[in-house]
Amino acid sequence: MRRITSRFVLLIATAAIAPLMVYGAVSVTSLRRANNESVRAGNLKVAGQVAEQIELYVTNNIRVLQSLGSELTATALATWQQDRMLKDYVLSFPEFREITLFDSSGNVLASSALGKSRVALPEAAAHAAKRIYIAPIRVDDDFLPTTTIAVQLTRLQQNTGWVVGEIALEQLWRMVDNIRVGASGHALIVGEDLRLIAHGNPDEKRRIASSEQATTNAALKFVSAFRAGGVPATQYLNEAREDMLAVASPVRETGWTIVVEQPTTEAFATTRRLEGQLLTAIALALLVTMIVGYFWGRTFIQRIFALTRVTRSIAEGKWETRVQMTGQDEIRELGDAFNSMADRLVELREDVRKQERQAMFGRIAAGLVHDLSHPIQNIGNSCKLILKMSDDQEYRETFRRTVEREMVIVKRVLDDLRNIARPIPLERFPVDLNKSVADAIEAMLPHAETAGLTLKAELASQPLYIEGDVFALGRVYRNLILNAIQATAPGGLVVAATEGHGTRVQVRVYDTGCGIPSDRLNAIFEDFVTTKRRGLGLGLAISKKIVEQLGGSIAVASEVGKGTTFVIDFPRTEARPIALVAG
Amino acid sequence: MSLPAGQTTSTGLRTLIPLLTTEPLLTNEMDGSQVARLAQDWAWDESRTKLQLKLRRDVLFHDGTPLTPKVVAQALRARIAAHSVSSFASVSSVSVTGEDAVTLQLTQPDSFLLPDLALVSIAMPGKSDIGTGPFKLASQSGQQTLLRRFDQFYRGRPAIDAVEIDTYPTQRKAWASMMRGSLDMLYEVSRDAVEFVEAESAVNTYKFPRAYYIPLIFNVRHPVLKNAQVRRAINEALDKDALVQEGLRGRGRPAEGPIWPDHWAYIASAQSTTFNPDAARLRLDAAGYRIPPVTAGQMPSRFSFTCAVWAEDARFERLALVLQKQFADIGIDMRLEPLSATAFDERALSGRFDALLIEMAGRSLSWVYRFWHSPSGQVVLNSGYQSADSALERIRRARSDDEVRRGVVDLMRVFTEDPPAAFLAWQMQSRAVSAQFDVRAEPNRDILSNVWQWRPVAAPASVSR
Repeated sequence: MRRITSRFVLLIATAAIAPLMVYGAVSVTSLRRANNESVRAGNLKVAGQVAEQIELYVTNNIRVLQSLGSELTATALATWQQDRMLKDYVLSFPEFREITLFDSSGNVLASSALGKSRVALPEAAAHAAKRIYIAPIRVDDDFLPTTTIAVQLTRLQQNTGWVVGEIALEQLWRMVDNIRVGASGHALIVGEDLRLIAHGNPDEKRRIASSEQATTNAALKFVSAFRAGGVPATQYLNEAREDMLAVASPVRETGWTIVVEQPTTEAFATTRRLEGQLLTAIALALLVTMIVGYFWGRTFIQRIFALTRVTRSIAEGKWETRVQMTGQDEIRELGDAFNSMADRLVELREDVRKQERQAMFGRIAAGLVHDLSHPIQNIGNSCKLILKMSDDQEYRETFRRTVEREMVIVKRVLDDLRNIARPIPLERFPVDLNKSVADAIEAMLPHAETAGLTLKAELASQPLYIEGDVFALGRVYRNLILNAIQATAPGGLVVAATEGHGTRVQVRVYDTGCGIPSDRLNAIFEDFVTTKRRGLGLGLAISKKIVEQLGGSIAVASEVGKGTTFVIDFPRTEARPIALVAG
Repeated sequence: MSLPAGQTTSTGLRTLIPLLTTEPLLTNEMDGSQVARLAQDWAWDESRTKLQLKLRRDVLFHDGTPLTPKVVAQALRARIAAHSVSSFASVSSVSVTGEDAVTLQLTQPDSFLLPDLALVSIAMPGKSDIGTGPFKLASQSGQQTLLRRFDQFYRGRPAIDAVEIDTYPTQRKAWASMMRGSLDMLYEVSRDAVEFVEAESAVNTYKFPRAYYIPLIFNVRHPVLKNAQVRRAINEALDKDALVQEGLRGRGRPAEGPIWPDHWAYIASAQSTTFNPDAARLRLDAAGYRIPPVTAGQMPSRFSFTCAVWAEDARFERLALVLQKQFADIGIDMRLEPLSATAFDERALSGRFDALLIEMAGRSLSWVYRFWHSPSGQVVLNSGYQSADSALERIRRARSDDEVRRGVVDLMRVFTEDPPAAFLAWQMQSRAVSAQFDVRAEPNRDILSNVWQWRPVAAPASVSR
């Protein structure tokens, strides 16, 4: 049954669970891939927007300088007016730490600075082809990154000077600080020379101020690879060993690169949540499948178990047991068929019993005919002869003895039949086993002589006492010895021997007869079983019954062609016959 | 460390080191009242010309010498002789009047004596570097000073082993160093940087109202600025809220005068100037300062004056620009003259200036007296202003708190009607400390007042500034 259960579980697993798990794995993989792509695309979009903002920031600053330049050149302002205007611009646009106006030769004309201007006209600007020059990020006196934007002033296509603004990148930081992707995603700006310009993570901002920026920094390496044509999105461990999703976008106006970093735990949180939900749904489906499968299988297997139980019950002899099957399926049909089969078995069993009874009756009848016909015939002949030869005293006496002898036989047959059905009345007294065996041998010597074989007793040297019935024991000995004589060919030997072993005493009756086949040995003590051609076969059965009623046991060992040995075992008794006790 | 505002590196160290190494007899609270420190109690006689100070008996100097009335009397006599604060001029003698008592005899009542005593650190006579503070001077060379913990500090053993003080030429440079993790504490976070420092989780910032105001001081000898109506008009023309927002990035509050608004004698309802540029124009017009026709190459202004600005402190540059813009709006041409600290001090003392943009202490009324009472003010500032002398003198000689309050009302009226300066703003100050320290900050209180109570959060460490 376990195997059926196992197979049934395997069936559910392969038919329902395995496909569901495969579906789950495929779904989760697809979902993860799609969502990750979506998150990357989203962050790339954010990075692009940030880059646009930065470009706008730079562009706006350029426009401020251009606007200032236009006002300065177009209106022929006095120096004090230029000076005030520069100061007003610095106040109005806090991105600028200082704005200075240079003539075409690079001499300072006016400045927002109170004292000497800190800003110089970038040399590269003077040689640049474009009218706008953005200097590479540099570290100022305070170890902070800064840059300058130079805008060329022209009038009638002639270079009339430059407006140069020094940008305090703290303003850029404020803008970057306000950029948030999710809860903790942030942006950072990497300059042309792979120097960190701004970092949206307040705790990482100190890296900007560090004079030696780590070239092994994962973000900077990523930017380097990106600029070399690498992919715009990647994942890496930052210096806090946190797995980050990073995307990059260029700021074309300046050559800077925007990196948007977001912890993958946060970036892919939705993916993870959806995966979790999907896995939960699949797990629930699996659970439901298993529960339903279990209960459904249970109803299926339980009926098989019920069939098994009924089969066993019938095997134990409870022929009336039947299986009650529910449902309308093949199992129900199997149950019905089983019940029909059981009904038929009962019928067949009754038939067999009837046949057995008939056979038994026939055998008993044949046995009775065998056992009784000869004595009855002898009695009948004697009766007829008595009538014919009634005058002869000697004949009458002979016929009388014949009738009495045959009647004893008839009576014994009838007693045997009666003793089969009810307990044999026994009178138990201390009996000397040697004596009882010797008496039986003496009584059976005529039979032995008639059969032409030797019958002898081998008795123990000491008396062996048991609690027994002398007459019943004699009957047992007679049965065993008679059977032995009948089974032994002329010239053979039949011995009745006694032995004592501690608290037990034994009588062994053995012969050198034909022996009993082993397949019949087990049944020889049953009623109406005989190894002889004729007869009721009650002798050994009654002998066994007597021995067991006397507290003993009887066993047989036989070998075909060599002989048979019956061993009767009794408990020794300490009691003694009354006569002995009295004497 | 970035410098204490308005001071040079050397004067900054002169302020900070005594704060950690010495203790005064009393200290001034935020409201201008005094609390016990080395003196556990004090009492005036009825005439308020005799002040008895009862000293603590459990105080030791860094060299193990106990603090005794004799030592304190010696220290006070030395400071009085140096006229280090104005009220000491009223002290005729200092005497030991008991095992734990010192008595100061005054020639006349002086309400500034107690707040001035709070400004005087007690050091071993003749050994100014041996005090009673929580830390003792271990070494000093160049820009670095090392202080060690004083285990017998009477208020409790400091948890921090040592304090290293580094100086930086600018606040930006100092906070850049802080960002790099080279410092555990920043003396002052610049207004430009404070938002970044505040956002950093490895650093805690502590802001508190600083009893220092920024005035634009006028030289009343100036041909135009000598006119009180002009000075009053200038005060009316200034949008101080805008000055605080644009010039101080919102980290301050407009000043009505030189008296600390949280001072117990300050009366908010007293007369003050309100922002009214139209009234200012009318007042200037009435004073004869109208805007002239445009002249080539010159700004068409009612008048012009030059404002000296300390060039080495970037805080004043932006404030000066905003001021200049606001003055230009009513037709006043304020020219800016950046000066080095030395030149600035020289100008202030010599009186060779039109106007000064400066920072002044103002928690104690004695400081107001020191700056704006003409005979005393000439020690630090020579603006020629004398109008407030009478009111200031009345405050100084007041025998009761009510007299002080009445004097303050008079003083505020004088400063409104005849202002010696345009009082611009009181400042907020922020200090930054590494999150590795439990600072136990109290609201609106300078964290430097309890450095001895700071505790390293993790392993014992030293604090650098």
